[in-house]
Amino acid sequence: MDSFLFNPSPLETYLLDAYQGETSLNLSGQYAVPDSMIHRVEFPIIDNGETIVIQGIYVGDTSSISSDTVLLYCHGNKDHMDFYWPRQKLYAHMGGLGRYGVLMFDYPGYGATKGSPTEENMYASTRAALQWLKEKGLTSNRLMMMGFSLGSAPVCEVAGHVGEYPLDPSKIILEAPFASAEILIQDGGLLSMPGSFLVDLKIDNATEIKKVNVPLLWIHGEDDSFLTVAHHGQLVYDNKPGIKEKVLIPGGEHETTPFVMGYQSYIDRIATFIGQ
Amino acid sequence: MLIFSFGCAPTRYVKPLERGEHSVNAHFGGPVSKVPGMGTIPLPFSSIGYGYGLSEDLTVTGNIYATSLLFGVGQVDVSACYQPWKKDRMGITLSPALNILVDFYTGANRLWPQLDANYYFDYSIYRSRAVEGRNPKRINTVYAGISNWFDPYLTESQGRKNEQFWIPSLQFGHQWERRHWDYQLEMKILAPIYSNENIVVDYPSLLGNYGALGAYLGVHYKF
Repeated sequence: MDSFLFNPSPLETYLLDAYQGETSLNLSGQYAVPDSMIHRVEFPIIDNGETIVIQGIYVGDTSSISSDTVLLYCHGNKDHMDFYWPRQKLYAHMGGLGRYGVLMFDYPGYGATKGSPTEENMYASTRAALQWLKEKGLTSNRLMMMGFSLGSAPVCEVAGHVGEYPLDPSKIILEAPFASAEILIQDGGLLSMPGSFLVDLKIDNATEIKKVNVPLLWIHGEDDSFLTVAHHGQLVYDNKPGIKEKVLIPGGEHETTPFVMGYQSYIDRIATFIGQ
Repeated sequence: MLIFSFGCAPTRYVKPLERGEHSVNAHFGGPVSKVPGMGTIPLPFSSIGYGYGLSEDLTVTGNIYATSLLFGVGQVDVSACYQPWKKDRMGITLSPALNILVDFYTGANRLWPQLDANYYFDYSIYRSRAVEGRNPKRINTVYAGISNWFDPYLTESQGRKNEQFWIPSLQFGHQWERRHWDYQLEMKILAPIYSNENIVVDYPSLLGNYGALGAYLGVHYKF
């Protein structure tokens, strides 16, 4: 049943703006990013004894990561980075183009990253991305992490285990997070069955978030029928101690919240949270 | 592979076995679902079971689910098929059952009671050469009924209140009854009173945004 949660598509290479397939958002040229700011990056992980090279894209100036504030974006469960490329471009425009560096990467099995996705190697690839940023000079006080849908799991994992990853985020943003694999199963099966009956995934963001002490911005479309506000995002938000803010968007569906909110309003709201 | 567990098997026995009769059976099929990378298919549940006719109106049976075993979950049911009313070619049967599930790795377990009711009608009966001690007929039967699962647990994950204590489904089927072998084809409308929208699994349904469709095959060998 794990295949219901991971839904990757392989790619030979990334096409970014030239990609003709379905994408997460349809952006206008207003949010274009010059080629000089786009950097293909790689970082290896060991998964079940085999080396997998994680593919990533950094938008910004890699030579100034030691002084920049960087957003590490953990994408959702669908396809690959080409699908989510419009989102990365949007975030690159937060506070003005290049104000923040943005790193995105593909989990194993997604896009040009080989292998098959598991919860463990999703966290391992996030760890590798953090290590890459750390080696470039990033420090925890300038690291922001954002997770969309499935990507909320590695963000909660890292933020909930302070000191156990190469860097700790100073703030986190969760868009359409899911509460736990067990709730997904119970929603899908109607019966109150334990999640372990169906999936190996142990993802439990609603519990993990209880250990997170850095500020949270929660964004969720009220019409999200895939991960509902009531069954998912609200549980995570309610369990979060300390500083937290929420943005609920009427009419927003799982993928469309930035569009419904207005792209500029969407990134302005995130930039305000980061800049506070 | 237990999502929509209440839809993982068809009616076990549409009508009771003869007194003293044994039966082994196998059932295949499940809720029709869009499976990533595979398309829209009935989820491949399978089970095998045994039944025994205690009397002309009461059969007891037990079944074990083979597919769930592959995933480390033991799932069995014990049930009965009781016929409180019969007239000529038709009858009504009631089938109480207890579904028992145990995760071999975590120890997590569940007990879900079930009560099915079916009406059947033997629309054609062909009498063939009598065989001593055995049913000499070939009977074709249509049936329809309701299956009711009961979820007695008060809370779900994260302390959420369980709001689905009763999960009904409707079934429609056909049975080809032969001397030793019975064959069964059944369709279910699973959980027609519940929305299928806000869940991660995509269930096509005859009722739009409600319920799901189930498709099943069954075979019985009587001796």
